Amino acid sequence: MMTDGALSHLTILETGVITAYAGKLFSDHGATVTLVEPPSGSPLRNHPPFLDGAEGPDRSLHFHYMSAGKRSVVLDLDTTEGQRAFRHATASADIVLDDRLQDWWRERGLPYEKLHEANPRLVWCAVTPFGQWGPYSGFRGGDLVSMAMGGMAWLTGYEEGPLVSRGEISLRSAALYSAVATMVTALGRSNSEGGRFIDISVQEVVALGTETAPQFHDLHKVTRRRNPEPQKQAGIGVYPCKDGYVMIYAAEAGLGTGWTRLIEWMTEAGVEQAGKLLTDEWATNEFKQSPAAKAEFERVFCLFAASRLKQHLFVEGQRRRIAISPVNGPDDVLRDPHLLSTGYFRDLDIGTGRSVPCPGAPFRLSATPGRSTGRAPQLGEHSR
Amino acid sequence: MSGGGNLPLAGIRVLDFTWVGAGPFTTKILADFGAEVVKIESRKRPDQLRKAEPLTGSRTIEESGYFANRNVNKKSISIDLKHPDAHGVIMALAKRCDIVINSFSPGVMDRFALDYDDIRTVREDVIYVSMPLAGSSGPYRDFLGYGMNIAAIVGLMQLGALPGRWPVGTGTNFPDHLPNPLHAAFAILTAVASRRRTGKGQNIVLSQIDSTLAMFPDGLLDCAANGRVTAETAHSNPQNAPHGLFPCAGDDRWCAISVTGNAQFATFCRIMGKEGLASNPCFATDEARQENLVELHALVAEWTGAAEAHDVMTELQEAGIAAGVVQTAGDLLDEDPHLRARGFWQYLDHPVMGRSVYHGVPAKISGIASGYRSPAPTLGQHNGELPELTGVDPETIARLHEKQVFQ
Repeated sequence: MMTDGALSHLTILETGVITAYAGKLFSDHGATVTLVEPPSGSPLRNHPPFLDGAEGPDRSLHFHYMSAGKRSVVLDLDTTEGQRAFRHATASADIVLDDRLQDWWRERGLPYEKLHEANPRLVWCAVTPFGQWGPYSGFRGGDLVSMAMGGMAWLTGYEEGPLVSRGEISLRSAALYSAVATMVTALGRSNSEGGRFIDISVQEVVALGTETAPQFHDLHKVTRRRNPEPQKQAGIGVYPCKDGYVMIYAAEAGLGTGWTRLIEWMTEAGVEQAGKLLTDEWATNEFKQSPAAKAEFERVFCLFAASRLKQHLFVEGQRRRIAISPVNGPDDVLRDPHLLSTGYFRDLDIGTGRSVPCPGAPFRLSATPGRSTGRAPQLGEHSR
Repeated sequence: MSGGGNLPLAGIRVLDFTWVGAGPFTTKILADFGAEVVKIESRKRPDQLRKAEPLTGSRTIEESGYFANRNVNKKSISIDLKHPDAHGVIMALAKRCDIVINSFSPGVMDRFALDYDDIRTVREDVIYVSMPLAGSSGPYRDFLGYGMNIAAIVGLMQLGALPGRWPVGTGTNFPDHLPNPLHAAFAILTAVASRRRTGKGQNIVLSQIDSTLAMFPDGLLDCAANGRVTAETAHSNPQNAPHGLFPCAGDDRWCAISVTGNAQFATFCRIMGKEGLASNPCFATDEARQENLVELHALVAEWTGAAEAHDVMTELQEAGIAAGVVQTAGDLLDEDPHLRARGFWQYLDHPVMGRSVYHGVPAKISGIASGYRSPAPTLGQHNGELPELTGVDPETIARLHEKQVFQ
C-alpha cells in the first residue's frame, strides 16, 4: 500500500488559472503541486463563491476547493530575479500547467524550447481559449465565448434563444482534458528525456461536447438545434412534479429504458388514462415525437406526478428499472441519502476553524486511494 | 495493428466491455494515445449505440455515426458471453491485457465470473475498472440512467435554467462526453503510473455521480458554507458587463460578448457608435452596469441585431474584447477557418458507412501524431486476430467458432 499517493514522484508547477482542476487531480494523488503566483496573487483567489458572500483574502471557497493541498510561491515573472527563479524551478520539475500563449513566455526569456533544453523531461501543458496557433489563436476567450465557439451553446436554450449554462463547463472540461493529456505525456517519458509541449484549445474541448451534432450535419445535412420544449419525445424530457422537476429517459427502442414499466406504474397508481399509452400506436419513437403524443403523455404524467415528490419518483421509479432522476439543486445534493451513506463529501478546511462539506474523490482507487487534501496555501506561504 | 507504434500508451492493451456512453469514450481516449483497445460485443447483444441516430444507408448496426465516433481506433471481437465455452477465451484474452474495463451495473461482471478477483487469477497486476452510475455501494447502487439523468442528480441541469422556468441544462448527455470518460482515463493512467513503480495493479470504481459532481463544486460550496442557493441569473457574470449572447442579423444567429472593466467598456461603446454610454452614469462603472444590465443588454442587442455575427466577433476581437459566434455544427465543420487550420475534424473511410466525420483530439502534443489510425470496427472485424490476442491455437479457436462462440 502506497500511502503517499500514486503520483508522489511528480513535481508540478502551476502557473495557470484555468488548469486549477487539473492540478487538484494530481495533488489529490500525491504530486507536489506548487502555485506560482504573481505578487498580487492568483486571480483564482478572487473566484466566487466567497465565504459569507463577501470578497476578500482567503475567502474564495472555489480557491480553497481547487487549491487544497497545493503549495504557493510568489514570483514576479516580469523581473529578472523572478525569471531566474522560475528557470531554476523548471530545471527539476516534471510538469508545468499553464494557460498562456508561448509569446508571453518568450517575452520573458522563458519559452518552452529553452526550458526543455535544460530539462529534457519537462512536460508543459498550456490550455488557452483557441490553442497556440491558427487564425484565432490571439482571440480573447472565457467560458461564454468558448461555449459559443465550440458549439455547445447552440445546442441548448429556450425558444427565444440559445443559452450558456452556469458552471464554467468549458473551463472545467478543458482542465480535466489537460490532466489526462499531461498524464499520458508524462507516462511516455524515459528516464532521460521525453518532455513535450501540449497545446490544448478550450474551443476544441467544447466541440467534444457537441454529441452527435457534427455527425448529423455530415451524414444527413441536418442541423441539430436546441429543443425549445421540455420533451424530446413522449417519455424523454423534463417534467414537473410536486416539488420541482424530474428528468426521464424512458423509451423502448433506441436509447432509453423503462417506457412500459413507467406506464404500468402509472396505471397501478390509478391513472386510468395511462393504459392507452401501451397500445400499438405508441410503440414507435416516431409517433412519440409527434406533438400530439408529447402533449398527451405530458398531460397523463402530470396527473400522476403532481402529487408526488421528485425524490419519491426517483427512488420508486428506479426500483422499477426506469431511467428517471430528480432535477436537484445544491441543497438537495447536500442531503442526498446516497452521497451521505457512501461518505462522499469531504470536509474542506477553509482556515476559519470550521470546515465546509465539499465534493469528494471523483473515483476510487483500491490500492492508491489518494489523500484527504489539507488546506489551500496562503499567498507565498512556501516562498523562501 | 490498432495499437500505435511510438505513441505514449503503445504497448498497453485494454479489454473493453463498456457500452453506450461514458465507457467507450474512456477507451477511445486511451486508443487516441496509442493503447490497443479490444472491444467485446456479440451479435445477440451489440453495443446499443450501434442502433443510435444518425444512421446511414440501410440503418444496419454498422451505420451509426454516434457509435463510429466513439469507437474509432479500436478492435472488435464478437463473442457470446453467455456461451459456456466463452469464458475460457475471455480469460485468455484478459491474461494478455493490462486493463479490463466495464460500465455494467454492479453484479453483472460477477455473474459472468469476470470480476476483479476472477481476472486476477490469470493477470495478477491487472488494472480493473468499473464505472456504474452510482458506484458499487449505497442506496443507488443498482440505479440506471443516461448522461442527462446524471446531470439532473448532481445539480448540473439546474445550472442551465432561467428563473422560474424549466431547466434546459446543456441539451446533451454532457456527463458522458467529458466529465466521466476523462476522470476514468485519469484514474486509469494514475493506476498505470502506480503499477510502474510497484508492479501492482488495482481495482478502480468510478461512480458517474461522484465524478460529475467533483467538477462543479461552486453551488454546493455556496450552499454549504453560506446556507444559500446561488440565485439563478441570465448569463450573468458579476465581474463582466455586458456579458451574454446577443441576437445578430439572420435567422437565429447570435454572438457571445463579454466586456471587462471601464476601459474596455469605453472601447466597446466606441465600436457600437454609442460613445456617450461610457460616460452615462447609468453605465459608467462596473456596479452601474450590473445595476442596469437589462437596459444595457437591450442597447447592445440594438447594435448586434443589424450586423452579421461573424463581423461582430472580428470587430470586437480586433479591439481585444472577448466575443465569439454561437456556432452551429455546420459552422464548426464547414466555416470555422481556425478549426480547419488546426485540422480538428477528421474524416475516415469506413467499409460500410463510407467517408464520415469524427471529432478530433483537442490536444496537440509536440512530436506525437494525432491522426486516427482506423475507423470504428465492424462487429467482430478482428476475430481473425484471436489466436494472437489470446495465445490459444488457431485449431481450438476454429473449433470454438464451429460451436457458435463467436457470434
